[in-house]
Amino acid sequence: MISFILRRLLALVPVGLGVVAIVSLLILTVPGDPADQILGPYATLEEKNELRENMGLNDPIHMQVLNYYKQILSGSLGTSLIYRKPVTALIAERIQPTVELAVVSLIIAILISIPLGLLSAIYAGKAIDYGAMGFALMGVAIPNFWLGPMLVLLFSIELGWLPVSERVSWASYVLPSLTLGTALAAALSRMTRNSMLDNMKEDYVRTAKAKGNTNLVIIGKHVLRNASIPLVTVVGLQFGVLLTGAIITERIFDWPGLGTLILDGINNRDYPLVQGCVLVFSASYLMVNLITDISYAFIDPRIKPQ
Amino acid sequence: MKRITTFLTYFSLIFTSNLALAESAPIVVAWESSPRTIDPRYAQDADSQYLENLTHCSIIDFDKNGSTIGDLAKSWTWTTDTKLEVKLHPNAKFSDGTPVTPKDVKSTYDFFKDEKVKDPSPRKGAFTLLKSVEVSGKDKVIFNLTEPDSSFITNLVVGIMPSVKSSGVMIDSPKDIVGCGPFILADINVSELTLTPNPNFTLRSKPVTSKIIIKIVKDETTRFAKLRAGEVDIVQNAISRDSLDNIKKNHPSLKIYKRPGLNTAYLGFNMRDKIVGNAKVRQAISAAINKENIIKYILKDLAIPAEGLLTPNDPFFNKALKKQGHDIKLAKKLLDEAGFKDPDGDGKKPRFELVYKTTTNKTRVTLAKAIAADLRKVGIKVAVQPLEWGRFKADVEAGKVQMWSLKWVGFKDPDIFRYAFATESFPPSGGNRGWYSNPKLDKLMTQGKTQTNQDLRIKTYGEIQEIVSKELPYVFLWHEEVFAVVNKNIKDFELYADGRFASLSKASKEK
Repeated sequence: MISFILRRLLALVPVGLGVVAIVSLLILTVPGDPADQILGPYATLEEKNELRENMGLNDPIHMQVLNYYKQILSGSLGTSLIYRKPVTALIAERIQPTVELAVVSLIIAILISIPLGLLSAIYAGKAIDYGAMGFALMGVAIPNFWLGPMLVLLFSIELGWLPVSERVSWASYVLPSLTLGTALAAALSRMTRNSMLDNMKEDYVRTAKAKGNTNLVIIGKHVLRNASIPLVTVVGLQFGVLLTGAIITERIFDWPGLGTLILDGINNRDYPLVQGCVLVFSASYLMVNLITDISYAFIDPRIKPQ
Repeated sequence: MKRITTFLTYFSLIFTSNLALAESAPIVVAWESSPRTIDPRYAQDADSQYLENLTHCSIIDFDKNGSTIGDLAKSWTWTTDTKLEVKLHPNAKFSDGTPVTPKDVKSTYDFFKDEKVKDPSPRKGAFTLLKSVEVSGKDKVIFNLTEPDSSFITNLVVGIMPSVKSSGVMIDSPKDIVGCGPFILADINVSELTLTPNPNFTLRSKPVTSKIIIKIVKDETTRFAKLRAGEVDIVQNAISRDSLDNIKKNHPSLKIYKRPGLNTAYLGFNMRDKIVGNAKVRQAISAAINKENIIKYILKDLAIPAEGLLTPNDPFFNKALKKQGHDIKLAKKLLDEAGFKDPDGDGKKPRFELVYKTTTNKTRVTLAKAIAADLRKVGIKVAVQPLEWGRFKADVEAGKVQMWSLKWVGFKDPDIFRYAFATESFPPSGGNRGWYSNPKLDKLMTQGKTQTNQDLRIKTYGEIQEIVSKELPYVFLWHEEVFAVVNKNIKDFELYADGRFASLSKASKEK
């Protein structure tokens, strides 16, 4: 197990650097000059050229990427061109809100989807099943840039129960995590249902029934555990998506997370900021996948990570 | 007994008025984006400059109409063409109680000339003509320029910092920033800034409110939602005009303020293009656009048609300029004269096609489409191309455009003509993005920049405006009004023509 973990951690390095190289190539070729953003419209041509030279922007693209690798190896993610602060500091002040939002969204998604998927599987073909799967379909189809404002309109403006935006209290987490978690809940409930139905047909279930176990014991103790393996895969992958893909939700709810930070970086051609955020995103994605793989071994002792 | 009664009366008045002030609830303002810096020497973006205006004093300031007024400066005079002498208010203080002295002013502006500064400021470019700053006596500062520049005074808006605190790197902690403005920056984080009144502010009346909270709300829908929910009190120039009718009808707790702004929207042309490089084509385009309709239906009457680059309230505005109205017949005639006859009369074939680039802002795209529709009526087919801001700016500056739209904002001196139209201002050195060149105009603009006599300047810029209105390197579209949606509990709020929030020092919120 330990060697498995170490191998996966080492794999973070080439994957992370590869992702950074691809993103760097893309952003460095997009039109727009950060020297304009930094020095403003009144700077002379000489001043802009001098700044570009100092920032290494006049170097060939492959050299800029290599220089960035050297910088990472020295422990720095560079300085934001626009905010003039270390990228690590900017990321550090934003990462906690993003992780919090992702965790709460995941919890909400699991709390909704598992019972819904279970009920749907147990009452397959009945009204509960149709209702649950109807919800699943809607949840996947409704885009979060529509859902978010609609939730705000109802709960914040009309009813006045919850704040519109910002991260100020526990109540602030409700609407953004519902917005983010609904699509995930919809997909997870469908997967739970299907996985449960597949496992309920297995021989061990018939055996358990023959032994006189109640439905509650059969489902709770046997079926759910076996059905959860594919769910763990999806939850793991989706958590990575929640961490990295909450840009729209963060924007709607003024969530001070990494999503809005990377958006600012892209709009302002802040190359070090974008590269740093991408590196952090790819590392977090890989870590989540690693944790997912390790968790299999705990759910099913027959599975040994190799 | 009488004395006791009088004393008690005065005491209760003072006590209750202070109590009222102390209890004045915080005013909450929503801004679209956060300031990039709290250090005034580096404040180049609009939000940083709005903050600077609230927390720092500067040599000069601008009143709500955009006219230059003294702030720290009690008076100023050009003793020679290149020497500007400024007399400072004697009692100005920083927020830590120390006096603001000429030495502090010198230190602030010396920063822009210091070659040893590691991190160059984006404001440095405004002081290329500044040779040196001298202290003269207890209350005077002299700015020495390398050549005459009448517009120089309008650059003296940098927030003054204590000379002892000035360093060669950008300051980013509120603890290290000391200003002489009406407010102190008490706290700043990713989503919010908190300002408290500066107890040592002496240049004008102290702020009435107990606190200003500036919330950074990037999404327009969210800003509107927060206004409706009462979570913010003021949103200025950051709400869609389409929402204003809804606000008027359905939200009696909100009030809309509006006033003429200091801005000019324009259509720019690439003079190197063989079609739009022809002055008659540009004049035809100007005649073909129905500005009144666009202002009425898209801008919701929150604009006035522009006759030139300067707003009608500008003291340099040439009132004798001929109005350029909507005239389709004239437009067609001009296009014929330019050699672009309609191939099939009023049929489907256009005289020529143009590409019109704009940003992805939905209002700008709607405006572009309306203009394209007007031009179609005179036989010009226009393809509107919305581009992401960075790409749009890069294309315009590289000359990869035929026609584009943008807006000049917040200009305070007619020297803007030189920045926009002089041959020396071709990109990347200046803002002459259309690559327009007119030697006669160049000469007049240099003359206007160096004249110190106001009447002569007005005459010179009058001539400049006449040439520009005939040649139309830009088609000037309209001057948009600035507007704000404000909670009715806010008292004494005023809009400033350049979009600043200076009136927050007088405003208060009733509980």
